[in-house]
Amino acid sequence: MNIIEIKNLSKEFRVGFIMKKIAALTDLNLSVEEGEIFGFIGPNGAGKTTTVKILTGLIYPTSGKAWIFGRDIRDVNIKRDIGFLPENPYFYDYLTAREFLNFYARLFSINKREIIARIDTLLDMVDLLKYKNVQLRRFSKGMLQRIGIAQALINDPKLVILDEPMSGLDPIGRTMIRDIILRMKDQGKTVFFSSHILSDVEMICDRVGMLFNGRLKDIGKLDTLLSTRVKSIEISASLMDDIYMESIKRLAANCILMDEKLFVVVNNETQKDEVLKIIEKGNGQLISLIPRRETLEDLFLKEINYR
Amino acid sequence: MKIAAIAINTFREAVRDKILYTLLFFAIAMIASSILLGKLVIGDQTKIIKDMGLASISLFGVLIAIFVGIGLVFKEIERKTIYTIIAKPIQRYQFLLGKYLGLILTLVVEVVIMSTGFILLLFYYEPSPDMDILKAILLIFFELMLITSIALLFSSFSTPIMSGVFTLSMYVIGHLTGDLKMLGSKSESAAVKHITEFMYYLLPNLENFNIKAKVVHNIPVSWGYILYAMSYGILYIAIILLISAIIFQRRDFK
Amino acid sequence: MLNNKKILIMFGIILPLLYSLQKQIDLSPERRGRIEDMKYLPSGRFLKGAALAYDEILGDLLWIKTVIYFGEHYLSNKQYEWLSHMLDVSTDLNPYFEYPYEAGGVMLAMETKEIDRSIALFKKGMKNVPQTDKRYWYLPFFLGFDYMYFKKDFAAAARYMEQAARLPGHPEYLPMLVTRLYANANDPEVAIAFLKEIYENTENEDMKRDIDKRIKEIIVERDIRLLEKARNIFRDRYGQYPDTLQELFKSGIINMIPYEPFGGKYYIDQKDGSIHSTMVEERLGVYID
Ligand SMILES: Nc1ncnc2c1ncn2[C@@H]1O[C@H](COP(=O)(O)OP(=O)(O)OP(=O)(O)O)[C@@H](O)[C@H]1O
Ligand SMILES: [Mg+2]
Repeated sequence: MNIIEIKNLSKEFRVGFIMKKIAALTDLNLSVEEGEIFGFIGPNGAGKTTTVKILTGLIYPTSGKAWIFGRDIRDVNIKRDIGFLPENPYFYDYLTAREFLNFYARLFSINKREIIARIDTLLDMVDLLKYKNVQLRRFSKGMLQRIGIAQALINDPKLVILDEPMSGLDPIGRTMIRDIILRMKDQGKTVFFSSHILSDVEMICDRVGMLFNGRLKDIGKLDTLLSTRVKSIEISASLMDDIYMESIKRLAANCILMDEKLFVVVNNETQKDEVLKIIEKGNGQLISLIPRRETLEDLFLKEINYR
Repeated sequence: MKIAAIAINTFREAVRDKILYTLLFFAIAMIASSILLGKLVIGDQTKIIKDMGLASISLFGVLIAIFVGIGLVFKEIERKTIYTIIAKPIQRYQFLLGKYLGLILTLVVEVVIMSTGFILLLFYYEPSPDMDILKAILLIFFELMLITSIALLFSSFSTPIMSGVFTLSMYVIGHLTGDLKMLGSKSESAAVKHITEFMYYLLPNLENFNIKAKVVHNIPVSWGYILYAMSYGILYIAIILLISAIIFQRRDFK
Repeated sequence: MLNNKKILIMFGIILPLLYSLQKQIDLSPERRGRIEDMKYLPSGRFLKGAALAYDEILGDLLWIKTVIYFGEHYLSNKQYEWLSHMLDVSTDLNPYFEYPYEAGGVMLAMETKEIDRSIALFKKGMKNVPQTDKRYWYLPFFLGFDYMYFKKDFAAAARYMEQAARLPGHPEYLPMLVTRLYANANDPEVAIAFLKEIYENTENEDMKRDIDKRIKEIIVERDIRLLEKARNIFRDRYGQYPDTLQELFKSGIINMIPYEPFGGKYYIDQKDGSIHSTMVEERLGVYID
């Protein structure tokens, strides 16, 4: 059973006086497996938040269905095992950190003794124990994000949904959140998080889904997603006779001589094979062959250009 | 209890808001000023004090019900605080009910404070004042609950300004439906007659809760009547909350 | 949770309950006999300051209350303790609004017989209401009526009437009426014309019915006077009273027997030759009382 199962999900918003239709999400199919960290990436306005809001019951889909833990998302009971951190979260700023967590705990009917213990553990985990009795209006953005995560974990959920948990944070803040997410995975939780910051996703996700313009463009394991798209291959070899070097230069995208070595960059496998053949003929020695894979960044840019 | 958690949080928000104290201050000041006014009128001084006291409790109660009520749900959506709550295992109607009860709790506190001040003042002027004023206060409180539910209804789908305008109009109309029906019954046109009659039964009749004049003039008001008025209030509130819940259930939070 | 069927059932139960509760509440003694304590209705001049620029609205509301107050007491005890005070305050709040002066003045004159207050209200209206108001002419018109009908001050009546006749919007017959008033103030036509005007402009149905009756009574009186005159001519000519009114017609003294407005008949009493209506027992004596 998949933790999240999304089938043909679409959402249209109607905006303005004439109720113009805006397709925020089109025919999304997606599943998230138990225990994985799933990264949901896409540029601004791609439809990530829209998807997350549908999953958490904040908005209703125009068409399509979704299941969490195998149950329809309209069933509120599934929310017992979900933790959610919205995008740019705003909280009751008149509450102190402890009151705040206590309030959410009561929405789950967790018993009192357990509440107190859990609040302390969570505050400790997000490094806010010192600020237990401080009103949220005094919190910095990073602190708010962290208390938001604590809030999402108050019910010890099986699935955690985080919408752009790292946006607006400094590198230390991002690392901290990344660590927390990894720790969730260690505890056996499934994490679904959205982001448009690729390095975050690259580092911790098991699988990613890429959303552009409301449509899912790609989904899969990060390395397979990237390795199928070798951007270039870097070959380095020992020096050879000039004729051979000349023919390699003609083939390659880039070729330089440095430190008594030849560095060649080719764009595809056939070019690579030919270069290797020439090196063999010229009795050159192959020193290294490094496929330069595409980064997420490259993928992203290509998709945007492609549009 | 999830509803109680929401209610207490709403109450806490109101209590930590300055507007409540400002209004409470003015209410107490107004009740106190009745001493002055009472001095200006020759003769029946306690009548003026009773008039002013009851009017203050009702007026400031209405102000709080409207001011706080119209922002009740809207603010949660606007500030997106509702996002985290809806993602918890709570039904939307439970959230709505919690918000409503939270404001009612606030009103209880408010009305109790004002009434205490008012009754102490009365005791100062009369050794044993007629405690029927408590009946008037009880019905004022039911009126406040009804107005709060109306504010909540509007607040669940429109902006605070619009809700404020709507609720205020309902408050005014609610006190005039009786007169409207009377005017309508004098009309020659059967259509006008029917429309005013229909409106009379459809719109909330807030005059049902108004026994201020009776009480001030020591005219007895039976518990039977109080019971009728309270049942009317509760049923009307139930209808309004039901409609609010239906609207609220269907909307997107964006 | 809330499915459509449950919602419908809830509405179906609560709405009729609400309806019957409201009916029950309306019947309870607490709702009947509302207290009308206007003792504390402050003077209009004070309210104008206190009403924070909402004085017109306040005046309108008070005016509506006044109309209802009048209507209620017209049907019940005919006691109008607070009427003139309410009128005074609402015209203070709404000084340019013509209708409360006009209608209020008529209420005071015709119903409560507070003639001086009625006159004062009309005069206040003439001072405050802009002359460009379409209904302005009603104010001197009814003022004249007060002077004629109640005060018997025909000179004053004719003066105000003349003023009304110079204002735009007045009915065509008005100048003629003024002429008649100058010639013979006791002319029933004058009273009928006034009352018809009042009838047209009264919105209270019960009062309208009363005024209509009054008009018909004056018509009866006018007709009887006419028939008496004819009867006297007949007597002078033939030395005796006619046996029936039919004879007056046959002898050509009158060209028709007037139509009795209540639906009855005029007849001549054989014993003393006096003329009566089958519907009206007592004569008015004078048209103007
Ligand atoms: N309430 C709304 N009314 C109208 N259009 C909306 C609404 N919310 C979102 N949209 C539109 O739907 C599309 C998807 O928006 P969404 O917020 O899901 O994007 P996102 O991927 O979360 O972007 P970001 O990275 O900026 O958060 C956008 O084109 C946006 O303009
Ligand atoms: Mg977003």
